Formats: sequence, C-alpha cells, structure tokens
Amino acid sequence: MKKILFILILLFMVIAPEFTAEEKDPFDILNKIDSNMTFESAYAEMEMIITIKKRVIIKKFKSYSIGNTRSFIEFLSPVRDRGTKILKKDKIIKIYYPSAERILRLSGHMLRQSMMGSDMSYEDMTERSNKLREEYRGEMLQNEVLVGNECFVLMLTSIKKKQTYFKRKIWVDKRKYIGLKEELYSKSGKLVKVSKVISIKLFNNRYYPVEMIMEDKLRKNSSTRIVIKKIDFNIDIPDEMFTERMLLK
Amino acid sequence: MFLNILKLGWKNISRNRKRTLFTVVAITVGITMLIFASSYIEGIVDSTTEIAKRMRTGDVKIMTSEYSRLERIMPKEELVLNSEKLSERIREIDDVTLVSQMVKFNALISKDELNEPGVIIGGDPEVIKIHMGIAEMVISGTYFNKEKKEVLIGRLFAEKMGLKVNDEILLVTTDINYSTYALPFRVSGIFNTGYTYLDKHLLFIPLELGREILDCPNSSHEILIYLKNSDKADEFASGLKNIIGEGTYGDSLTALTWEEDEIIGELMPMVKQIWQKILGIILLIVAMVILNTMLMIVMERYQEIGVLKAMGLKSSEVFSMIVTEALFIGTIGSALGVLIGGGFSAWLEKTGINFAEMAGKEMWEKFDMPFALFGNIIYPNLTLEIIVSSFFFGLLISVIAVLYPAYKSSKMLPAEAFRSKLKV
Repeated sequence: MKKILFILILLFMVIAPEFTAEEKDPFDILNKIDSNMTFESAYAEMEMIITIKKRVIIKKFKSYSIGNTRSFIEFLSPVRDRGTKILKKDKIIKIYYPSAERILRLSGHMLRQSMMGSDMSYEDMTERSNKLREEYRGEMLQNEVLVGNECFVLMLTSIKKKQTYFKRKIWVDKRKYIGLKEELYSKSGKLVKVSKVISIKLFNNRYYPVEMIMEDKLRKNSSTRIVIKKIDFNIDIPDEMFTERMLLK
Repeated sequence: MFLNILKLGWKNISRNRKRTLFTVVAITVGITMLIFASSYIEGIVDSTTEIAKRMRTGDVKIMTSEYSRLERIMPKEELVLNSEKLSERIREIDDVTLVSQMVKFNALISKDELNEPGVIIGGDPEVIKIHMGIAEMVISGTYFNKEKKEVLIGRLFAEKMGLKVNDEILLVTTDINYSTYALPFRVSGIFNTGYTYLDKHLLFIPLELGREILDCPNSSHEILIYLKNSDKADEFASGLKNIIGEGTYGDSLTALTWEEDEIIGELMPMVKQIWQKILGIILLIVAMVILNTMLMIVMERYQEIGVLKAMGLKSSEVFSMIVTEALFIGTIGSALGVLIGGGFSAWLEKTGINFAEMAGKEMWEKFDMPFALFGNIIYPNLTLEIIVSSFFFGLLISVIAVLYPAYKSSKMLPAEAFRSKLKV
C-alpha cells in the first residue's frame, strides 16, 4: 500500500508541475486557442440568423479562406443580398454590390458598421486575422464552469493603444481549448459585444466551433447566430479566388 | 400748481447738465441693449422656427409614434404605409397647400477610398423646392432631378469629401430588412444654407430612389403638410386622427403640429428662457445705475430742497418735483434708447449679423449641432411690442428708482436740511 502511495506521489510530482504550469500560463492557453482557430485553408457554407426586435432574418453564404488572412464570402440569399461578395486580404476589405455593380473598399466609419445587418462589424472580420497572443497580454482569473464545461477564465488586455476591443474576457474550455464565451470591452470599459459558442465539432485533430451567437450590446434586442452547415479544411483554393476579378465575376 | 411743478422739474434737469447727461446716457444705453437683445432673441426664435417648419416639421407632420419617439436615430422600418394614397387624400382637404412625402435614413457615402456618413432625404424635388427652398441655395451645378440618379449635397459635405459637381458617389446602407444595398449617384449640385448641420450632413435624392434603397415602395417616414393658416395646425391635426387611425396606413400613426416639435416646442422656449435670464441681469445692472444716479441727484441737492421747503413748498410738491424730473430724464433716455437701439436693430434686420465671419469660418463650422439651430447670419426681429415695452420699461425704472429718495427728501425738515446731510 505504501509502495503504491509512494508511486502515486512520485507520479503526481512529475506530472503536476507540467499541468499547473500549463494551466496557469495564459500565453500557452492563447497559443492553443490560436492553433485550433487557425487553419491552412477552408471552404464553408454558413447561415447567419439575425434576430432583431422579434424579426428573424436568415442569410446564407459560402466562404473560402486561406489562413486567417484571406477570405472570400459570397451571399446566396435573401434576394436583395444575393451576389454581394466580400473580399478580405489581410486588413483590407472590399465589397462588391450587385445593385450598384461597384466595388467598395471599406475604411474609416464603414469598418465599424454592421456587416450585412448582423451583430458583427466588418472590423470584427479583420481583427480575427490577428492571433490573440500577439496582440493581447493575458491574466488568469478564477476558473469557472460554463454549461457543464470546466473553463479557464482569461482577461486579455491589448498591448496596442488602438484596439477595437481593448479588453476581452474569455471562458476557455479546459479540454478543447476553444473560447466558449467572450465578452468584448471598449477602452472605456463598456461591454460592447458578447459571443457564445453553442456547438463544437471535432475535425480530425481540431476542435472548431460550428455554431455561435453574437450580441451587439449597443443594439437593442438583437443577436446573430452563425451556423456552419458544411466545412472542409485544408482544401486547394486558387490564389485567383482572392482577387477583384472574382468579385466582379 | 401742477404746471409749475412740471416747469420746475424741467428747469431742474437743465441746471446740472453733466448730471442729467450721465443719467440720460445710462438709461439710453440700457434701453438700447434691451431693444437689441430682445429683437436678437426674437430673430433667433423666428429663424429657427421657420427653418424647422421648412425642413422638418411642416405645419403638421404624420409619422409613426415610434418614429416620432426615435426621430433622432431615424429608424428605417418605422414607415407610413401607402403614403401615396394618404397624401392624395390629404391634398384634397381645403386648407392644405402642400403635402411632402419623405424617406430619411443614415447611409455611408463613398468616393474612391473615402467613406463618410450622411443623412439622406428622399423626396420629390419639385415639392421639396417649394417648402425647403433648397433650389435657391444651389451654389454650384444644378438642382436634382427625380428622373435621374442624382444627388444634391451640402457645401461642407462636398469639401469634406473633396467632391465636385458630376462626381460619382456610392450610397450604401442597410434596407428595412437588414440587407445591404448600394446605388451610385451623380452629384448634380452643391447647396449652401448657412446652417452648419444641414450643409455638413444632408444629401437629397429622389423619393423613388430612396424607397428603392430601403426596399419600401409606396411608403414614407414622414408626411409634411403645409396649411393656408399655420395657426389652425392644431385643429387640422386633430381632424386627421380619423384618417390615420383607419389602420390602412400603418399602426399607431401620429400627426404632430409644428408647435409640438422638439426644437420649436422644447428647445426654443429653453433658449428664450436662458436669454431672458441674461437680459434680466443686464436690466438689473441698468436699473442699479439709474437708481444710483437718481439717488445722487437728490443727495446733492438736500440744501436746495431745504430752501424750497422753507419757502413754503409742500412735501407732496417736493415729491412730485423729483418724480417729474425722473419722468423727464426717463423719457429722454428711453426715447434716445428707442431711437439708437431701434435704429441699430432695424439696420441689422436688413443686413443681418454674420456670426460665421465674427467667430471665424473654421470655428463656426465646428458648431455642428444635430439641429439647424443657428444659421451663420442672424436677422434680429424688431417688433412694435419690443419698442413700446422697452420705452415704458425705461420710464418705469427711472420713476421707481427715485420713489424712495423723493419720499425721503419730501419728509425732510428745512432746518435739518441746512444742518446735516440727508440720510438715506
């Protein structure tokens, strides 16, 4: 019995420091989130369900992405949105409006506008290209259980002075290293947006959220649910996909 | 006897000319300021009311109750349905001179790499021309045409985006179903109203194109109604209740008169009140100066008053004599004040006070309020009421100011007057 106890203590002493070091290092947690969320390439078919003042609007679109830096989105429905295409290359966003048959490069005010009427802004798209660990410094808060999932709770503060969301509070699933809930704060400390992951799927070795909901706290009675209907990782996407020619096609 | 008192009073004011002159100047300055300030406030209130009626309220405005509540953020989905039909019905009513349907929304205006937010007013160019008078304010290019994809922009907006006539801009917004929609427009002309907010933010497009962008055919956010007689707006709005309550044109529509508007009904009385308080302080200072001078007049003359009393002048006659002097001085001062203040205000009524020039163009253009509150040129409004009330105010203050010293001196005994100074 003593022998077993000795082995157990020895085992704990060997494993525990690694565990605790891993659990308490926000940088490492951010690293793991980033590696889950970044991919070489992906094709996805999605639905955006916007609920605003008792109205529900469903928008369907498909997207092609390479890493987190390049993506091409094409809206399929409703009729007024059909044919609207968004091209994102690094931090540059261009939109093609079929009604005007014009391409618009977004800048300034427009980046902060709601993306296609949703709770997300165009800026939310570009800021997702950045890896969290490169832009924020993390601080561990008290662990919490969120909908039955053990979570690390991290408070991230931007290293840069100019950042859309200066602080982010993230509930990270301890097992899957996915941010299950995120509260986004402005520099003045005002809660701007809240996002929650509703469903996660395992794709080969990667956990990826397939359903999430975002609420823009500055819009009353509004939320946007994004559902990934289909997603293929690491597929071949030609570079030509991310050009203005494809927007006009 | 009364005539003698009048004569004595008149003689007295010419005895010490410096003293009289000083008092008259004090009253004149006070009355001049009073007339100018009153006509200036009247001018601000009148011009703001007029521009608000022309641009945003009409005599009566129909909209949904929710739109009325959230008018500042212009909720796109709050629409008066079948507004063409409703406008047609209203046009048939006798007192109505003009009906203007409008859609109003926020949008982003893009040109090359530049994006700027703007407030879009979609209306019938021919109707807008009549009540807003924008056509006369076009400083470059031409007015917009309802048959073309044309936009009329403000001077400051054009400067901000570096736009010229014939440039193409892209107007982007979300429609009432939260779909993003964009349309290209050609800048037909640039207007200058002199109101920073209007010139910096407003863009006019044809009503049908506004409806196309928002995906709301046959609907409007606002229906502005102009009447033969603005004073009957209240009665007219009450009469509309039956029509707008039918439900054919949307739920919970409301008809508000120009007097119920936020600017005219709430903000303007507040501005007036603040100004009246400032004016009150000015008047108090003027009254104190007059009071002080009148006191001096009596205090300087205590021995003279003693002599008059020793010669048999009654207390009431001494009192009347001093009050008469004050009346003469008050009349001269007030009349001069009316002439100078009235003349100055009447002249400014024609030329206006150009605040943009006074404050400096840059500073003035920063004065960007969400309403067309102050134009760069304010025209004072001098009314007969201002002239008459200011004149009598000057007179009244002069008389009130001498009541106490006149009473004290009338009660003085001649011996006391020779021995010591009057204590007041």
